[in-house]
Amino acid sequence: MKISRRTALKLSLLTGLSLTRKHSLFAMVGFAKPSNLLAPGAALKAGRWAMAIDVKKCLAAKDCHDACIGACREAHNIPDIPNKKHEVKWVWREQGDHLFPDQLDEYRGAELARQTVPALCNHCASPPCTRVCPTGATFKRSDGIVVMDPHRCIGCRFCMAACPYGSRSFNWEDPRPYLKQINPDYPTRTKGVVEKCTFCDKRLAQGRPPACVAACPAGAMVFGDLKDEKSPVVRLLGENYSICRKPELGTSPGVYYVV
Amino acid sequence: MKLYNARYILPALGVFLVAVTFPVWRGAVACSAGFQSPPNPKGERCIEPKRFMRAQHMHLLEHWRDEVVRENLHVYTASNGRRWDKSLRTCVACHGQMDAQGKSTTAAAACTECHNYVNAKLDCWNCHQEKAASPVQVAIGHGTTHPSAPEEASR
Repeated sequence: MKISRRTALKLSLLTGLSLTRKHSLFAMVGFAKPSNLLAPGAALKAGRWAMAIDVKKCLAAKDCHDACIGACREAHNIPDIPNKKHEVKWVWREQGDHLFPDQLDEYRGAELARQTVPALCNHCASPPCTRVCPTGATFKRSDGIVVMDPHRCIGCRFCMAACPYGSRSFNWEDPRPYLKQINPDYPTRTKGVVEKCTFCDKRLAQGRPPACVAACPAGAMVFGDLKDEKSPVVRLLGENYSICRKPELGTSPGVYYVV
Repeated sequence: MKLYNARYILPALGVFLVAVTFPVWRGAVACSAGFQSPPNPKGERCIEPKRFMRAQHMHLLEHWRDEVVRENLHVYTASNGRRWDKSLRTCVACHGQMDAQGKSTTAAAACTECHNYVNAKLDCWNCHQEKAASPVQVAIGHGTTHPSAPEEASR
């Protein structure tokens, strides 16, 4: 059978149309059934995820009772270990002059220097922790999130030594006895692995913002895509002066503090 | 042909044969003792046919783990076109509520029973949660049944 050029073009156009997702032939014959996923929404995607913490708003919210920290603990089954040496922290409060040792003085940010604001993993553009990991258990995703794969972690703690921000914690003991209430939808960790903030990668995959951002009553934590000009983070950073933790190290943190 | 010292050699040979084949017949005896497979959870059928799940569940789970953690791909499309969250929570939604006799137990208990039998080490539940959150989650995790899976009819 000979097919004319015109027929071939028509056929290829029809084939292309039948493969498009909506109103496709597959959908008509019921091949692509609606999903049974637990995820409530479409996954959030970004070129580089980043956070901006509005320090003024944060310091003004005196009675938030650390909502961000509490929400994070609840969402990720973070144990409450009384022994400070065994402490596990994803988001925690840190005094301003510890966060920014070279950037604040008695005239600039004097109030911030004396008070505490949330600190978390900076999800650096060039993270030192991933470079030293011997098993590839920690790595940077294409959307900028530095994640931990506890399945591969051998507990060598090189990443903890490499991180200049103290954002990583080691499980010196089984965390389960220290959990008052276990959230069934998130795994706990086990003795001998390192853990840290993941920018709530699982919640993002479900179309939800990070737990701390959603919990902040003052709206002081702004989350978004640094590569998207319209994202709230880019807008906030464009209109205000902001600082990062230890910029001189060249890690390019993804957590900004608007001062 | 004459076999010298046959009364020593033949019994020794017998003992040797028994010793060499020990793992084989020990396995056969142990199997004939019977392994009671844990009861199947009520209600839904598994995401893939039973025979596939029995043989390949470990590979499937490993594949899921790598894709979720390392590639951020969370949706599994089963052979019958249904889509699932790549999570042990999907397993636990059914296997975490084994109430064949109205008794509720954890998925870990069901896994452990079989894994102990085949002497395969299992450490998923050191971190992952083995209990179903609530019956509601089962309802969300399942939709219509598919009559086109003959493997499942035997369950």
